[in-house]
Amino acid sequence: MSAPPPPAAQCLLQVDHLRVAYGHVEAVRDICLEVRTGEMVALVGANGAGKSTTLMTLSGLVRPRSGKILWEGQDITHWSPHQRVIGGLVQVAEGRAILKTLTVLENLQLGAFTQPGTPNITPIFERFPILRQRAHQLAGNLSGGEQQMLALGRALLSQPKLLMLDEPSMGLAPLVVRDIFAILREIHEQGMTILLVEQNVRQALRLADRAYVMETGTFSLSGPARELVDDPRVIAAYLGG
Amino acid sequence: MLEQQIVNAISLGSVYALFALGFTLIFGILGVINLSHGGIFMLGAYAALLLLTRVNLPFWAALPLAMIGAGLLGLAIDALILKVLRKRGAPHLMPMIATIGAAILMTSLAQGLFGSETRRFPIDLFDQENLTFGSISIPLLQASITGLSVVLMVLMIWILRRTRLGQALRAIAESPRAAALLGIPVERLFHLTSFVAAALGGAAGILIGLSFDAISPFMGQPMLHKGIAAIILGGLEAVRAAVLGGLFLGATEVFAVTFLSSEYRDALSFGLLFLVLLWRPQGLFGAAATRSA
Repeated sequence: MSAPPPPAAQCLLQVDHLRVAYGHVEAVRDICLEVRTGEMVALVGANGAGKSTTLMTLSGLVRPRSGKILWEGQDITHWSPHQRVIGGLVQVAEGRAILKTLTVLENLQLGAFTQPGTPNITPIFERFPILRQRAHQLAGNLSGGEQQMLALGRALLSQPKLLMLDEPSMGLAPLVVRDIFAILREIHEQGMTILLVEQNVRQALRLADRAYVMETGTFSLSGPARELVDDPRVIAAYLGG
Repeated sequence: MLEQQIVNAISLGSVYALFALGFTLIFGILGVINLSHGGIFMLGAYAALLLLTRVNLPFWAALPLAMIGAGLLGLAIDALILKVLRKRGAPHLMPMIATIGAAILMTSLAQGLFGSETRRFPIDLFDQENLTFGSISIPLLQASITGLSVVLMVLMIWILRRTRLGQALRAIAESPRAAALLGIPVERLFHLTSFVAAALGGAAGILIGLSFDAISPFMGQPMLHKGIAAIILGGLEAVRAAVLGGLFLGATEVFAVTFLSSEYRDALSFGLLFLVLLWRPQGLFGAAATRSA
């Protein structure tokens, strides 16, 4: 678990006055964010608040209008998406983003695309036995929960230093959501640094160490997740009193 | 007689398939209909002609060099035209129109540089021998054309199905965005695909030039139509479709010439295309509307 981190030195990701716009519409307005090694940070807020845009910008698929992204102290604002994955900044995109026309095994092998040599998939099969059973089926034939496990397993094979997840609970049955969150907790407890984007505010705050609340492109609140759960403004806006 | 026609059909069909394969790689992976593929095909044939007649290279050296030349042309079209449109998120029609422009440019460039008259490869490239298998005898030239096409196609299919690179390309074919998030260098593989597709197109140009004993600046356009016909006939399932559609188209043409007359050749093959579009829009060999390279 995360000990109280010393400043700067262990700052894995630092976002400095980031602005992102689609044409004239500003989706992200001047946000500053940091994730320290070993933390689980949640980025919560309503639909359309700019959470996914933030993650896409961190992954390099969307170019910011201004601001800086620092990764282990290095400016990566202009790095291409694949350079960031090689550097350890890995995202599981919204809607699970698995490759439906490839088999489960091929999806996992591609997870290790940036790693040299033959990928060792055994640990992933041990964590998610269902994937071993379905290894040679097309990934498009998996259930929603299985697809999310595949996406997660695939991302872990890229050896991330920071795992970013965009709405891992989206479109899943409550029981399956509980499973997924349990897995995230487990992965985090084994030392993985996680940036979790969620609309499911209550669950995300229960899981994370710290959180940022995003509203119309900016952070309205931020702080330790435990405090935010009890914050009357959060309760009124997201937790329904 | 019939055996001989079957040999002809396979030979012509395999070159069509080779052309269609390059065309369909671009469509499957870049998601772009590259209408300059016929122009690259034509310039590939001229490149080989120059290397054979001006530089006096042997055929086995001229072929790969001309393919590399065609590949570089394809790369240039990607870097100068397609990439710019990609970055801008331009709608699908734009790369189509832009590549029509590139094709016209290439045709008129070839007219200016090489003249409009039909040119031929040197006649002594291949021995006039025949390979005989039982009652069938195949001219060495025809056997080489078929052999080369098949080798290139099998190589491509093997790469796509069995290698890490092929996996990455199939990932891009499904979703460039998802592929990028896996750390696949999408832009670089777009360039590589453009290069390889154009090299295959150039090879097809050389083989068709040999097969019909004719090279002209205008040979690209009809071939482009045949390439499109081949992938539609096959079903838009990329590689397999291109190969089967190409073979089928070649067979149709050869038998149209044999049993009707050569004037009806294109009428029959394109008439068939209409019928396929009406009754089996998924293509003759396509299962469903899925897309994979």
